[in-house]
Amino acid sequence: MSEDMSDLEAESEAIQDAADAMVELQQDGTLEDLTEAATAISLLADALDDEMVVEAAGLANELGLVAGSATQTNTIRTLATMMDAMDEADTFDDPEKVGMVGAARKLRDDDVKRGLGFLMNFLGALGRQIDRRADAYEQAEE
Amino acid sequence: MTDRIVIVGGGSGGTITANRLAEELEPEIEAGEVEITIVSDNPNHLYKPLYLYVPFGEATLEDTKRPLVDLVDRRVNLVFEHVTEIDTDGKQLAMANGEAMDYDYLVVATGAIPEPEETPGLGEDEPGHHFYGPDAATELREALANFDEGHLVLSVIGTPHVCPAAPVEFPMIADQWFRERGVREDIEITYTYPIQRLHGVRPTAEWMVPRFEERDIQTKTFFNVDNVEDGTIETLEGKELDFDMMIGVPEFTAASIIEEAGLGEEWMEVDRNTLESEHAEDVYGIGDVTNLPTSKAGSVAHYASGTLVSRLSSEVRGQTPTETFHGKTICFIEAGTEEGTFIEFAYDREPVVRDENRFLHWSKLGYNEAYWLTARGVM
Repeated sequence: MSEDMSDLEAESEAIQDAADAMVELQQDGTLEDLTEAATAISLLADALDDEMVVEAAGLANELGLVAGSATQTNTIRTLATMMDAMDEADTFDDPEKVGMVGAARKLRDDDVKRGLGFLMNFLGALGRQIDRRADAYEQAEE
Repeated sequence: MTDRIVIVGGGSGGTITANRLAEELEPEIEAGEVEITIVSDNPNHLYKPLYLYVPFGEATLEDTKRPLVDLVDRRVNLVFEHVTEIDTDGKQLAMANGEAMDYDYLVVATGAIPEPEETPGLGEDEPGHHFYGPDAATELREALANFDEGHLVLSVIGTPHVCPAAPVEFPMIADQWFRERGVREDIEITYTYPIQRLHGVRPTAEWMVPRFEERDIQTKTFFNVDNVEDGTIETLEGKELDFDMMIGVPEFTAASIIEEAGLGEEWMEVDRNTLESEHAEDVYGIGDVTNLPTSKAGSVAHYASGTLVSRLSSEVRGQTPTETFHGKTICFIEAGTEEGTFIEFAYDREPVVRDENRFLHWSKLGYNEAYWLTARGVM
């Protein structure tokens, strides 16, 4: 009996606390905002179906996997560096045509050598990553 | 000197741990002070919770796997071999190709292996079906597609079993699936459980009672399946139950190398807070292979990996490990084909099952698609 009384008291206190919270939300305007937001959620619930959820989540997954790789420190720095270089190169302002002789001349430039060094390094790393994955994909398909 | 961290097993526990270790120990790896290797006998990473959906045509086997190399940080070495022996004194693994691999720190993540063959009459080409493997799930898909009348029985045979929600979800999904196909009135569904309530997790059992009643799903408890004959289940209690289709949740076991290595008798015995082996130095366990006092669920491996990574990284750096795991577990539960709920608990927190709704069902479907981000260590 005393256990029932204390349960009732606890429930009564919880109801009072909930009512107080609702009054506060009503008075400061939050309840109205929540009600409006709820209609948007209701729209979402009516508009969505399983297929849409699966498609959206699938896309988010694939983008997330790419983003996961993209957020590695070296990758971010390299991407940022390449984007700065794209901006500096000013590609469309009177673009040069460089033939074999012109290319050989440009290779004497220290900055071009540095860029070429990066490209060679990148190609080596690309080759290693391709090897690693190609072996693994072959085994995964067996 | 390079510290060699070897992880045996390329499932959820092993993959998430490897990725998080690679991120945490990036400076040490770049400096050549640490090497991380996953040894897996499967070049594919499997998301086994999707096997539940295969029999209902809601997922294909292709959806359940991805090449492990796609999900693992490039700094983690991959070796696709079967480990045949763990020598914890010599800190060495023996592999099926005859080669040996030394380690400084070992993480065992070999999972829980279904053993349908332990129950006579259960398995592929047997009277009793299951969905805890690709071939079995495919076979069940065909059987279910051609089932439009009779008595369907879902029996939980082994406890503990992986994925605590799946045996609850199967009859509820089946109920709604048969209704959508217009054949539910001609099908009787019965769910059986080996102990005196409907589920090992008490709040789940309590949640199930009214919901099974309103769906006209019959139940039998204290029902320990002994063998499955053609059309009849026989139990250890001497009971019999006739069926037209039977699906069993089989017994599960740890890989034999666990007991052979002295790491545990049934499951790998680890400290419930530190995940360190109770029997060997510098050895950790994660995931379904362990004897952690909680459900065998992927979420446990996910949350536990944070603690393992923190503690192992501290050891590598010569610091005192401080982080501890408190059993956080979360499981979605499908309540049919349109609504779902979830249960969350920890060692010191009782489970709470919320009322089911569409949003939680969509959350589960969404997570099924985005699970690979968890495996990759992104989410």
